[in-house]
Amino acid sequence: MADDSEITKFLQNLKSETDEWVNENIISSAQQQIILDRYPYTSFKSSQGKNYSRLVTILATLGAVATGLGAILFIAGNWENMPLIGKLLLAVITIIGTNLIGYWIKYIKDIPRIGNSFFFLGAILFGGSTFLAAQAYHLEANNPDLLFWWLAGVLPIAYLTKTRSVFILSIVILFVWPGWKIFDSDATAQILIPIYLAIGTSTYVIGKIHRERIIPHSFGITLIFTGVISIFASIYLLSFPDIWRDMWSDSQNLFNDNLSLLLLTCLTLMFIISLLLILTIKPINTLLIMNKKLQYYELFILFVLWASAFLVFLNPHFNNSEILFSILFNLIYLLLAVATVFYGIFLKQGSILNLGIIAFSFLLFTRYLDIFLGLLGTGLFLLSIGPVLIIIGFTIEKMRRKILLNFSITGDQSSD
Amino acid sequence: MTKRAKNIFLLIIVIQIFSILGFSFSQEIILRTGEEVILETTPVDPRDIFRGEYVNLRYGISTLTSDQCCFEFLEHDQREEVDYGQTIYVYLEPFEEQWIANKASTSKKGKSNPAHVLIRGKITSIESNCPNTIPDETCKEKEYSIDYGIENYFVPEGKGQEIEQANELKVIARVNSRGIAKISNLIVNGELWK
Repeated sequence: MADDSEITKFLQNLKSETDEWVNENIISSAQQQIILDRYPYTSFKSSQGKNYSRLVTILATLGAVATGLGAILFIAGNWENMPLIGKLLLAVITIIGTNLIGYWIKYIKDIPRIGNSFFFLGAILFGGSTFLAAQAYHLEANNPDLLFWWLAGVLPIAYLTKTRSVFILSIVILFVWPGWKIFDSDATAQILIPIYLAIGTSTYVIGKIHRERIIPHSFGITLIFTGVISIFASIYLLSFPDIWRDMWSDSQNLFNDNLSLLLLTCLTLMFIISLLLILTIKPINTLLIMNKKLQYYELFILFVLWASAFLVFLNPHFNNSEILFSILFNLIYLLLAVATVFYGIFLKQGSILNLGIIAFSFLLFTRYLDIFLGLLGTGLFLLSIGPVLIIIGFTIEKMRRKILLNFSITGDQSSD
Repeated sequence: MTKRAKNIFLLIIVIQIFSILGFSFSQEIILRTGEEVILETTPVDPRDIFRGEYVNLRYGISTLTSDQCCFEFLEHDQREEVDYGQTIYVYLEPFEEQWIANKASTSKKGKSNPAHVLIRGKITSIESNCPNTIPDETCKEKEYSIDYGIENYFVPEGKGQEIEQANELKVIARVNSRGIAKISNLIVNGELWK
């Protein structure tokens, strides 16, 4: 049996060799991952070091956040004492400095996690400097467009340096910006629901493309996760009849709002292009390759979700139809939760399974509250809810463990 | 990182820097070359947020009536319907050491009097001034609220109250040829504010 140092050397060579192949377009990044995954030692070694790596990442990212906020507060706090040109120069020097240090540490010194934290710091400083520059010229304080500016500056850095923390920051900005922008406009607040449903669906589809083709794959996981959360949250809100009543009380045709219409058009284009791309690429997950049908089911659900966003956007309204629509969206939510559970079981991925079960339990609990809170007195209701929750929790946990145990016997595919 | 990626990375950093410096430069151009106007204002609701303390300013020109808003061209009497969020140009004229709004238009064409200054604004609300018996759709008497992008003034911490409690407050603004305005300074109780 080869000793540790020999195996490590072999794996390092394999990694650098396959990196070259990817750069020379001999193999795709997905194929590289499959090759690397062939060696169980890789995952063994990586799991050994994973906890330390995570700790390093967390500490370095926290350090970056603290330093970034400190720098911004220092400049903002010394507003009076510092001339404008001084503030701008300080901002510019810190942005250039942190990014170059990040580059040097990550690519020259080969310490990626620390280097990434510097890129993250650079991203925070760029955002902070943007807001400070706007403040220096007394630009409107509640200006969502500054967020878009920030996003445009940091998203390319995330892709180029493959820094997940910068990517997550970009996604957070990307999700906050349309909400803030719409809230800032004359549009009715309810329009946010179909917009976020469409954003969630598009994000999910784009996440799938990232997962299959774009390095690093972790960006795909981030997108898929954010997309799913956004979808579940939007459908959940639409499962309440009150939301529909509020929407109709405004009696506004949601298509009249130019900003939302523009957003929805862009999202539709993105959704269609991404779907076409998905249909043309071959999935890396072997279980998905084996079962094309599952992919089509998934696409069907995505279409249902997209159609739902359009339905809400059309703001349909006829007598007492709020109950009908709330039932419809309860069913869509239920379908989605059950589909997520089955998807997790099929792909043998515990994280997806857990997500589906949590979503399912959430709906169950909400509807239980809706039905029984009105029927029973508050005291009696609280008395009854405890045992009910324990029973539901116990049953679901038992079911979940049984499925997860089944995964470990047949070999868990989950790598995330 | 490949050489190409490295070059793109450096280019993006340069773009980031230029976006901040370019923004500052464009603001400085307005402040240095724009026409100076003095506007009467009242501070509303000073706030203290993460970005620092700032004062919300409301101007005499922030509200326009149906007689002023809006006309197809400034120097014609052809009236034009305007909507929420629409950009308009307000015709400022000097009056007793300050500037007041004469009338507004959706087009900046038509300014022939060199003594007048056009300032660009955005309609933020339209309210009916008619009795309750007349529906909003048919009401001709309306009040338009306009934002000019000069409604916030950032001040050092603790100074917001000083401005809020002033007896007389005016804003010195600079307006460029496109109608974009920037606050240059404040006049608090008749003196330049520092």
